Parts: sequence; structure tokens; C-alpha cells
Amino acid sequence: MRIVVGGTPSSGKSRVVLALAQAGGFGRLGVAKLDCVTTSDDRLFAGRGLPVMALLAGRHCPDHLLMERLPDLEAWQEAQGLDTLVVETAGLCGRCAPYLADAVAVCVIDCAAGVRAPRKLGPLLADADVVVLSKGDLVSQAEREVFGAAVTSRNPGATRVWFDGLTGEGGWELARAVRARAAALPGAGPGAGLRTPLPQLYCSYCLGRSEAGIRMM
Amino acid sequence: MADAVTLVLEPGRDKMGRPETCGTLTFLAGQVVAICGPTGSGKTRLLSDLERLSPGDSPTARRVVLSGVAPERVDAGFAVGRISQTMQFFLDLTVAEFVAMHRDARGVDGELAPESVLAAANGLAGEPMRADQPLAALSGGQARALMVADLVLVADAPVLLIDEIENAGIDRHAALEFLVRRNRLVFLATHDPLIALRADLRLILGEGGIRRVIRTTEEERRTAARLELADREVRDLRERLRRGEALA
Repeated sequence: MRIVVGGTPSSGKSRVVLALAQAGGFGRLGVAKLDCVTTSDDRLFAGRGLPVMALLAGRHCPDHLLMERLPDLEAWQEAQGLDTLVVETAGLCGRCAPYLADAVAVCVIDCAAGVRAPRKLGPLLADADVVVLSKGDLVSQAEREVFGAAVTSRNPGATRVWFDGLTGEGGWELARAVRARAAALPGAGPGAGLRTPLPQLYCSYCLGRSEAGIRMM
Repeated sequence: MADAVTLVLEPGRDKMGRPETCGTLTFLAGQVVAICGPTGSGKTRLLSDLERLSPGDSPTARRVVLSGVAPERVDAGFAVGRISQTMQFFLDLTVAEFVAMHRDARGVDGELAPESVLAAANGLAGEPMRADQPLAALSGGQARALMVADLVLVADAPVLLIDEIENAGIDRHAALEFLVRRNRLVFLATHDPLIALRADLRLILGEGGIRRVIRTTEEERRTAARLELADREVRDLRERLRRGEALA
């Protein structure tokens, strides 16, 4: 099984991965962590005895990095004998999403992001199989319900799970939802590619231009 | 809301990992249950277990099973309503937008006008709030009053959980009368003897676990009646204080 966990920065993605590992039922589970600038989560996972591989995107887009290195991740999964590979990625610009056609797509979003946040997220939220709502303890129950409805209106087909990363509450429901979604995935097999295409052109800014106001369209 | 609910609480463990010895507890519609104990003893934790109908994955490992409610309602998370100790709203919405969105989120009949919720809230708070006011600009008392009105009129759940209503800066008697009605099962975490004695029974917590279950006795109800008189005098003095009158 493969699982891709994406979400807004500091929403609790790593806690979601740990909760999946702790809930069990995924066989031997390893984590590939893709981050932008720095990461320390590899130590967090290794400290729990999980096989871990960390990649940094640096100046590149982390979703692009995932697609370039996916064959390496698959080889690593094979070499480590992993039943489940969780890819935790910092793909987060709102334009794209790192979800693979043959992996369970998990989006983590925190309640403190504001009620208009779900409408601002693109395929990251809209294409997810499971949407995890974190940090619900920061707001009232009524606000959680309003926020939950805003999330559902963006992605009515997703399974919604409330999860508290500090206490681990909701971890069982989360693991159950991911397993159910994995069973329902079309068996596309490795190499099935992204659910949503990345931008289709390189522009001069992608290639390093930094001056503002140069119009090409 | 005619559900006749039964809530079963299977014991878990306290903060030290020791098993709770209270045995399986069963609560019925119409009961008022107080949750008492020192700060940090696990009152809020217990409310969270009840709210989630915890399957046993919280730190206490308690299991909570609710029956007598339509399964769709339980699955949607709408069977248990809760007011936490939060005194502030977080969302960037006006009062009217919030009530309308919560009504729609709950699938409540669109006939329920935000104005009626606002009117009920203003009946519990001091300075009235307006429909176009941002939620985040409400005072602690106003926010709490809106939460109470919203809980009863919008959420309208068969099980209610209230965390320390006495700290809310609202008329706690009016709020209690408003909440404890219509065959609901109500849990109240409280440090206030008058509120605790309003309950049919009380759970005493310590170090994260349920230590004792006490049924309110007739003698205690007489204490409550005496307290009520003293409390009325304090309330009267508080009102005069607010109006700037002499307290002699």
C-alpha cells in the first residue's frame, strides 16, 4: 500500500503519519519525508523505529521532486521490504497536489486556518480521499462543525476525520478510513502517475529570472 | 428532539495508569450529572471522551456508547453538543453568518432565523450583541451566551456537555434553565456547589480518574435551598454594583 500525506504547513502531517504507524494494520511501514528547506521529522520517525528516507526540494517544487524521484522511492520501498510506504510531502502552493493515482491521498488541514481556508486550497483538498481536520481543540464545537461543513463542500466524497495530534485521539478512525480507501482504490499499480497534472510549462521565472514586471502573456 | 437516549460509560484508567473502579456507568435521558474535582483532575478530559463517544483511543482508554439516537445523527457527530471553557470565537465571521453557517452545517431547518438565536443570547448576556458584529470582537460573556443559545437552538442535541458555566460571565441560572430542558441528558463540569446540587448525581474526579459516584441526597437538596437564598442576595448585589448603586 502507498499513502501520500499532504497539507498546509504545521497542520500536523507528521503526527498523522505517526498515528497511522501506531494504529497498526499496515504491515511494515516506512516513511519518505519530502520537505522544502529543512527537515527534522526524519529523526522523529527514526526515533519511533520507522525506516525513513528524507529528501529536500531546495529551490525546486516539492511536488516536482516527488515525481522525479518516485522510482527511487519505489526502489527503496522494495529494498526495505515495506508493506506500506507513506510519503509525507510539503507540496503546498494551492495550485498542485502530490497525490498519486494508486496511493491513498490524505490531506491534513487545521481548524485554526480559518473558515475561508478550504475554499483557497486547490486539488490538495479537492482531490483527497481522506481529509484530516487537526487542532480542533483550539476552537469551539460549533466552529468545528462550521469548518467541517466548509471542508465537505469542497470535497463531498472524502472521508472526514477529526484528529488531535497531541493526544492521538482520532487515530483509530484515521487508520480505518485510510485502510477502507486503500481497498477501494483502482489497482493502477506503480507508475500510475499524478491525479492532477503539475503546471505544464516552465517559465523564465522557473528557470531563475528574478526581475519583476516582465510580461510574456 | 424526542430521542430517549442511554449513554454507557465503560471505565478506563487514570493518569497513573490505574484502572477506574467505578464500574460501568449508565446515564439516561433527563438526568443532570455534575462532574466535580480539583483543577487538573480530568473533568475536561472526561467531557472530551463523552463528546467523541470515545472508542477507547484517548489517553483514558474509556469507552462511551450512546444508544437511542438515529445512527446517522451519531455518525455525523451531532448527537452530543458541547460548550468548552473557550470564551472566545476564532472564526472570521459575523454573528449572523456564523449562526446561518452552523444551521446549514447541522442540516437544521432554514426557518430558524439567526435573529432568534441572537435574541436568546442577548437574554443571557449583559450588553447586547449585534448580528453584524464580528465573532472575534465579542466579549467573553457575549461569546459564551452566543455559544449557549447556539447549542440549544441550532445544535439541539439530546446530550449536552457544559464546562464550567459559572466562569462564563453570563447569568448562569438563566443559562442552566435554558439548557436543562426537554428530556436532555446533561453533564456539567463545575466547581459551584449550587450547580452541582442541581444535578441528580455527581462524579468526583481525581488524578484523571473517576473516584466516586454520589447521588444527591434530600439533605443536600435542603442545603441547595439555603444556598439559593444566599445566592439570590449576591446576584441582587451584583446587579446593583453594575448599575452603580450603593451596596449598603
